[in-house]
Amino acid sequence: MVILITSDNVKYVVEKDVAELSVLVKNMLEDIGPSDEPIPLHNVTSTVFNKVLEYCIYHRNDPPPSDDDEGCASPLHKYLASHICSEWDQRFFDVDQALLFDIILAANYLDIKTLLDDACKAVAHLIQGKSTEEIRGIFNIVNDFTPEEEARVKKENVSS
Amino acid sequence: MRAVSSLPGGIDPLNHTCDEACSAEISLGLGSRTSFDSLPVEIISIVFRIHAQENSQSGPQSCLRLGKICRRWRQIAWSTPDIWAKLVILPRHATSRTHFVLADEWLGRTGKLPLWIEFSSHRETWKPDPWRFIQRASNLMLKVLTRYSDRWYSVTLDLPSTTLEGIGSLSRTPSMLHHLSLEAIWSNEDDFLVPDYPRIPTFSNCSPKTVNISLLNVDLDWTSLTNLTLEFVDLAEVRHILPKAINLSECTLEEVAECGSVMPTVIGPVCPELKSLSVSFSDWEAARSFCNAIALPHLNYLKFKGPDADFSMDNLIHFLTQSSCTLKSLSINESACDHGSLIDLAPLLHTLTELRISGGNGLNGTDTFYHLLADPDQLSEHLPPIASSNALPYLPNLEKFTWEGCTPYPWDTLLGLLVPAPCNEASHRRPLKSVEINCIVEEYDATPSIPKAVLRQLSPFIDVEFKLTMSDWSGDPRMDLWSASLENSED
Repeated sequence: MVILITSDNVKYVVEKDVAELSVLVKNMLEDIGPSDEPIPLHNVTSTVFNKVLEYCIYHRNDPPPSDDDEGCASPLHKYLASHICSEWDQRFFDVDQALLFDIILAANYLDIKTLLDDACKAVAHLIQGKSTEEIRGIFNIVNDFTPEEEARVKKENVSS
Repeated sequence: MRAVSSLPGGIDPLNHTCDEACSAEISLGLGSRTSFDSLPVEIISIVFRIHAQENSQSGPQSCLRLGKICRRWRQIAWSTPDIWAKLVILPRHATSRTHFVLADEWLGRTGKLPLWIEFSSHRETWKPDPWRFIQRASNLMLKVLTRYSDRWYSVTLDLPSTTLEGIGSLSRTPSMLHHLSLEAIWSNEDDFLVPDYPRIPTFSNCSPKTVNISLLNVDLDWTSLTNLTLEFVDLAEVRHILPKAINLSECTLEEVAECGSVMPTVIGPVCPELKSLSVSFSDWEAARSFCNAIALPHLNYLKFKGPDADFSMDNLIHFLTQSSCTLKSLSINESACDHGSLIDLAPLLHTLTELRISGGNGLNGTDTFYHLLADPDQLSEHLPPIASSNALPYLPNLEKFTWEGCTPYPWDTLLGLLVPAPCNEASHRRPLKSVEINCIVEEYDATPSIPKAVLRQLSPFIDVEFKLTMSDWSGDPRMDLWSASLENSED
């Protein structure tokens, strides 16, 4: 078992194979060797870590992402081609935007590649098929183009 | 992960390169952790790459839209080469100078990545544009694309024949070309199907692994090829290519024609790695010449569609005999067989595990074939002497039998496929696991019925999956004939 402590001082006792889905934790465990010393997770709160842990427990037996180098597709392309989000994943990522972005930041910090890719995929789905205005609305983004820039952007309408 | 960029004030995408972006420092807004804006650039970059990947077939608009949201999105999108590595150009994207400039800018953002390019100006979409306009626009767009030919990895060009023939040699050799798909669009296809039509030399130094070519002759280095599809091709080209394709494992030849070239009759065994072949012919001369000229000793899977008329199964028998291959799967069109020919073919198929027969029409004595499959006692009087000395029944290793035709199947022969047959004073049962029979009917009120006695006999074979159905010519939906026959008999 591995003891992990989140930034808000909540202690988790986690099975080693689950904890080691995080490359960050795995490397730290290798560095400190056999020890009961808790591992601090400075950039993750317990609210977010609960979700991360839920994901890791569910996916603990998944085969690791393939690293074979056939063809020229990037690792991300290969991952997307081989990985279809399950219903469970869809439900898991059906959370408010703020939590989704926090999960992404946590996955990035903890270096959990599949969680990061799946969460980014969930964000990509938010903009799928949406117009420029709709995307701005979804993410509360302000159009900061100058009129000259706006004119140039509009020229890029290839379908006209 | 690598920090990618901050946000300098400038927006000009033409003057902004990936390297510049990579060298800039990251700036995270830690005060607003829960907004999209607070995500690091490299993560937004991943989101964009996923978006581009999942919309890769929907044209360039979805990627370009990323650059229209705000300055930050534009800069990140423009600095992520993966987004732009695939370019799909539809006819409406190649009609003005703006489009050519956009394509050039698009590809200019790809850094050093290998490129996937699809450019189609297919005939159906031309109207009302005149042929000459399409040719000119295609030529101009192709000129842009060839500037990046040294990074072509996968290229699909469905273009006017004159455009493809006019590419000439490329100044930047596509040395990393993996997939090449070329379809020539002709104002009159008869202009192409003539003897010795010249090959285009553009790709002569390329050695792609997968190639699809339609209505065009192409010079290539064929030695690395593993998958090949040729459509509307002169048999002379097939004879030219196959002996060179020493690594070919899967091949589809559609509408092979004999255009009259004078070539050696026999070229013998070719393609030592070829396991799977699907071939159809536009005339019986081509089918006969193909079968007589070529042997494929390692063939396991064969889909053979003869010409609609005048084809003698003797040619296919000759092909299989001289190939001396261990055939595991055969798909064949019954309606193209002449009288009794399936019976003659069967002795060559002792290694076959899957037989698919389409176009069943009950003509040409083929019913006899199914009766002989079922009742080996009749073998000796129908088979040639050598074959009849083989005591095993027809197709002794058959695991999957699929039939589709426009007449009712001879249902009373089905049981004979399943029960053990006498063999060398013992018995042999085919290892059948699946029987699929689909009867095609003009109207559903003309439902063919399976005799109740046959259904009763088949019921104990619970280890065999039966799909006995009927459909109209479209194939869907299929009606379960087993259930329908039971209901009819109850009536």
